[in-house]
Amino acid sequence: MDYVNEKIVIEITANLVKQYAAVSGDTNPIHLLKSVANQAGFPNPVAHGMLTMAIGAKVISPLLQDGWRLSYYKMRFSSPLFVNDVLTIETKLLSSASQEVILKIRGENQHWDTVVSGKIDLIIQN
Amino acid sequence: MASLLYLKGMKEMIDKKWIGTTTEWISTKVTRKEVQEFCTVIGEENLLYQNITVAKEAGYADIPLPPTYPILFWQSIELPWLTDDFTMLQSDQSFSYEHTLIANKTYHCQIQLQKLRTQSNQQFIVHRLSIDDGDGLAATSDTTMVLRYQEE
Repeated sequence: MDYVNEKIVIEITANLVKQYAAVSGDTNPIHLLKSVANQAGFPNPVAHGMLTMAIGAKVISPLLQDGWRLSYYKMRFSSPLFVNDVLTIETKLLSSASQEVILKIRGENQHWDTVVSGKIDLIIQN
Repeated sequence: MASLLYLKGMKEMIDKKWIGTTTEWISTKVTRKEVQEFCTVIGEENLLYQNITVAKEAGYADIPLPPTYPILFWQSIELPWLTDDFTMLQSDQSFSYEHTLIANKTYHCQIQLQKLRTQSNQQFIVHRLSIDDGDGLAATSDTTMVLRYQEE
């Protein structure tokens, strides 16, 4: 488990959200336009939840290169993440066995508010 | 429950008669270039997703798809119970894998409306995306959304 990227810190820029909108096809203006986000009661455009989840998956990519396979990945989106927020994602080892590893994953913004939480289950490739 | 997912939706509440309904199967194949573009956006720099030699040395038949990539398959599937533009809140998302999905392989996908619960002016909806690799189910992905309706 030495290979886990235990912590990711990333600023959610407007350009990042714009690029994710383009690559994912999710071009809801609430992700892209401040005026639309403001109308919905948000201070800034809202980052895609799936962008956060995709960034979170980076913590396990070294393991996926080292014989482990992803079995299950779950995330709960508990608070919105906005453009210009800083996302910090951390993982914690919940359990480890010879054939299976379970990680807890949590993401927070710069105000230490939890924005996402979840679980990652990895199994060794047979 | 605050992440937004832009989908086709309905201005009126979804009828519970749709529970259990599945979409048509669609076929899709992801190219290595599409994987690389996705990884560039999210800042995934692991060579596993960039270099076929590295992927094969790690035991994959081709470049693996990043874990959340299958959510993009939604864009190719029409859901008959969601007909108008609408914005929903996404509350939970999960991916379950029998096999790692890879580039240059054809997958067959469909979405089922699995659960629908109405509470006041909100509906909680669970959809399951099923991904078949021709030999059987390779992966599923559950998406839980909240649809909020304006009071008349």
